[in-house]
Amino acid sequence: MEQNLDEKKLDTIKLRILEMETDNIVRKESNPAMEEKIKNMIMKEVEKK
Amino acid sequence: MIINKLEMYNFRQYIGYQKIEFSTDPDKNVTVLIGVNTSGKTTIVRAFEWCLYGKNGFEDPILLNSDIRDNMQVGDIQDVWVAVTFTHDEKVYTIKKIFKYLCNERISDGGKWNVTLNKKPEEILSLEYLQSDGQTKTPIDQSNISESMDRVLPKDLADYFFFGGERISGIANRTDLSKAVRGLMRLDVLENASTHLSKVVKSFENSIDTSGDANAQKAKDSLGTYMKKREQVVDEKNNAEKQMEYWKSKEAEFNAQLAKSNIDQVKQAKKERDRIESTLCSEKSKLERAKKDMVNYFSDPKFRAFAYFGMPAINEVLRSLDLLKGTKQNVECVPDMEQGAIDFLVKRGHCICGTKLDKGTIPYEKVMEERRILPPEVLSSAVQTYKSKAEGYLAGTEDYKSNMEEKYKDIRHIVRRIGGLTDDLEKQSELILDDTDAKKIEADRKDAHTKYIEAKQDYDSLVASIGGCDTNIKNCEMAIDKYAKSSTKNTRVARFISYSQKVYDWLLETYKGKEEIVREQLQIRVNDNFKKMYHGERSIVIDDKYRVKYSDITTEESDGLKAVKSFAFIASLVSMAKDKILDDADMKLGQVYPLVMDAPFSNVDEIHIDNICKILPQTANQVIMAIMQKDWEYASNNLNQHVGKSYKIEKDKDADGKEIDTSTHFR
Repeated sequence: MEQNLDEKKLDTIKLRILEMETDNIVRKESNPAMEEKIKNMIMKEVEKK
Repeated sequence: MIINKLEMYNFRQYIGYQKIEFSTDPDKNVTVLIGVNTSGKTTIVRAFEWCLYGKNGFEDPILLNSDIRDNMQVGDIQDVWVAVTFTHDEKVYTIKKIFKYLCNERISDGGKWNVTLNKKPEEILSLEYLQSDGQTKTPIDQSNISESMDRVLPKDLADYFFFGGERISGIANRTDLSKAVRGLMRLDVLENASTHLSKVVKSFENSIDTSGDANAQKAKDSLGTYMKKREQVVDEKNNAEKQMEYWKSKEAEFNAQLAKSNIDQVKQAKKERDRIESTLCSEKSKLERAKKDMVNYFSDPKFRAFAYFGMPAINEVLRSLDLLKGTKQNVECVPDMEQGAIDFLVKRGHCICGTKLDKGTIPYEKVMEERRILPPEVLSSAVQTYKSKAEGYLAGTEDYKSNMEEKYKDIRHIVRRIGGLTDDLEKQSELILDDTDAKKIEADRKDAHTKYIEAKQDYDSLVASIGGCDTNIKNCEMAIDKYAKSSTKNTRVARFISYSQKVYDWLLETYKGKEEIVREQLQIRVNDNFKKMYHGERSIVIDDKYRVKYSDITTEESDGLKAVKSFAFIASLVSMAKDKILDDADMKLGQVYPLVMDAPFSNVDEIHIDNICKILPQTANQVIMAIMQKDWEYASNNLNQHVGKSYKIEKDKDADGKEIDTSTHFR
């Protein structure tokens, strides 16, 4: 969709998702809960100045 | 995880306090516990399972030593506990589980005491680790113990590291090993992330405000419909897949029964039919490939089917143009330019090169001269341009038809061969049907085969439907995304979609890449280990669910062969984790695992014991093996050099030298 994406932000989102999912291997939160967490994290990272 | 020590107190037949230290030396990574039947080998594996995961695998769930229990008075409390000390990520942990048994009742029954204990003994679980000073112990909060243990070695995967001889045979034949493989290789992290993120992208897309744009609104409505349909079709596809697997296994079962027949004719016919079936299978694959090739030749733009099919019409036009009289066809002019372009330059007042185009000047006269030979007024230029384009368009399509005919011939040839082989197959079936016993089995086999084919047809058509849904979903998403990009009110959401979509694509690509490495490596390693462990010639393939299958034949397997196959599988899996095959600069996925086995060779003959023992110490980081004396005699040939610690499990003896079943010690 949009080509001009901030590479640093992309890397941060990738890393954060992997951390959250690694954690969740043992926490075993429900899918909707994880989706909500990831969604909020992406919104926060994208809008960070 | 490397296990340092196991401590037990009054745990089943291990009376009093007992301790085993395991070898942690990487060069001598094997610890053997040798004992006779009923000495308490299985109890060791169960002590680990109970302490680490709370699993109680005993028929009689009371864990307290029966001698101790029999001597309890009403109101007495006795502890039973197991503690495991292990090293993980360079930290030394100790997990300890205690059950406190309370005697509720003690009744005399003909000279024997019946002691009743509380059904739910109080449980105390603790986990602590040693600080770097080697002295200070830091306890882990009670509520985090189970989660912490799952981080060290997940409970779901414990079956692959703590197992008994009777359990090992079934491991490689489990219906779906994907979860275990993905878990052990930590691919589940990437897989879960892609699943969650795909839903996040969809959720962002749903939040796009499409009111005011009919097309985007329509795409949004359709997207919901297609997604629901897709879910439904995926369920149906999974059912069809289960059916396929069921009927395939039934067919293999009947085949194996026929192979056991004592009648030579049946045996011979079965053998011949297997051969024909294998050829038939390969011809059918060839047919699929030939059909795909033909479709591709038709649909791939690089083969220019469109030019070939347009050829008659284009040639007809060219012929008609040749007939035009009085047309100067060889006038040279600027290709693809029309008079309108010159008119534009003149109106603008200067040429592309910047020269002024004032009426009466030379540059003006020159461009007007060019204008006179340009289309549309000068038909010859238009004809010339058309001809050169048409000829270029047709170039290289002359042999399209003959190539297509060749492909069709191939397909017809394969179809004929399939017809012949099907007839041959039928003849062999007739020979089997001559025998009364085999007749019924053969009829059942044929029935299973037909049902398998029906299920496969359903499966294939459902897979195609999923593909159709995916295309429609993609189109809807593109329409919505396009709208979101162009509408100012959705700019914020459009940015979220862009970022999440980009990360999602990266996750998918990374997962696929790593999954391919795992599958490829697993196949290489399982084959390699299997060849070293098994004396016969058999080639192994890993199917889409990571199950281990023989690529050549589908005869019934003995328990021994199943065990060898499972050993090859586990050894390969553990070695892949040990070698950290998926690690790179961004991700550290490799793990260290121990193998704790009880009577692992109970179904394996001596040659295979010998072979397996050569492999195990090299593949796993640590091997702990409770083994029968008779098996150790064979195993020691190859294992002895890797043994760091060795124990004997012996029952205590009474004054008359008779073994006491309720009292066992390590020596």
